[in-house]
Amino acid sequence: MKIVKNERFEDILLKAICLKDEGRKNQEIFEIFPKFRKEFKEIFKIEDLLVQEKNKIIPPQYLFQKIISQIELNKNKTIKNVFSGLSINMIFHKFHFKLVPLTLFIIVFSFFVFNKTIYKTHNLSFDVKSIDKALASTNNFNPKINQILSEEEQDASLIDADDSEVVAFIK
Amino acid sequence: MKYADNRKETVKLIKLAKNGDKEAFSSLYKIYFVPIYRFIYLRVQNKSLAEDFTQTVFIKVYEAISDFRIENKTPLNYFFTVARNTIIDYWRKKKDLTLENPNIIAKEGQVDMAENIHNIIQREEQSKILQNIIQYLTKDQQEIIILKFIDDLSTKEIAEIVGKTEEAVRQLQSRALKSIRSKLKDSKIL
Repeated sequence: MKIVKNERFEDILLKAICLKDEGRKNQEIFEIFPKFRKEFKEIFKIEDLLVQEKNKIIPPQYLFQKIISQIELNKNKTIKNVFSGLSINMIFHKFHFKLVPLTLFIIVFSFFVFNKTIYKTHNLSFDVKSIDKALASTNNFNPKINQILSEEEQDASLIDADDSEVVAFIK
Repeated sequence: MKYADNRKETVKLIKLAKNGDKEAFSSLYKIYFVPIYRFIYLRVQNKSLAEDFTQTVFIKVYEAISDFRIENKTPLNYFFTVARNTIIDYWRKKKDLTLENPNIIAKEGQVDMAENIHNIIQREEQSKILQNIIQYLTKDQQEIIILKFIDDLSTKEIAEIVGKTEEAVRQLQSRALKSIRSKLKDSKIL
């Protein structure tokens, strides 16, 4: 590194940043620019303070869950738009469909929105050969869904939309 | 390189997320959630706004994930670009509001930084002072300092996010550090 006599500290600092980007350590910077030891000591202290600052800024735990919930809700809103024009007042979105290969069992985790309330459900593992049967089992497993279905006199149909399989209950 | 080490993994997650894989989404969020929150928090200096904006960023990313093209941007770049744009939108609206209300301009114009810092020294911790000083950097400098030291990104990664050359990023970093140094000296912290 060529050092010109009387070079300004800001030019030296830029060179030091380049060197650090290349992987040089603080100690090496001191050795390369001994004339500016005091200035670099201050700069490195600032860098340390900034790095320490990082650990003090922690997002609240609830925020992550809030975002995930909001995304689930938005997903259903998006799906709902697909069926605009139909009289749909609830959406049953099968958001996770998992095959367990060793046992040939299917587990369906479901997400259900009704009157702005979110219900989550899943079926028990069971031997099944079709998605329809798995969904039917899920419906049976969750008494709340059955109750709403019966109260609202709705029909369920499986509709493929937005890369997701969705059961829409249409009046 | 920091996040670049996970680049293969995050690209894989993005591909899965594009196909509606919820677990992949969750994993992506876990990777970027804290850095994005820190980036936003330090730029708006308000916990409540930072939470709202972080939520906005992730919902925006989620809604646009099907349009994401891996060949154009890295996932890291994608998340931070949405975060930057969200903050820029906020500042733009805030600026419009300020221009409509000259009283606000007058009040903001009266801020005496030395006095402000002196007051803070007396009642706040060192971190608060540092956060306050960051606010007095230019917007470009703020961004570089936060991405570099708070979010631990490399110069190359920062250059991609902010759309500048690595040399320009280093220039901004140098000026920002010089400016912070001078203000900390004024505040008798250095």
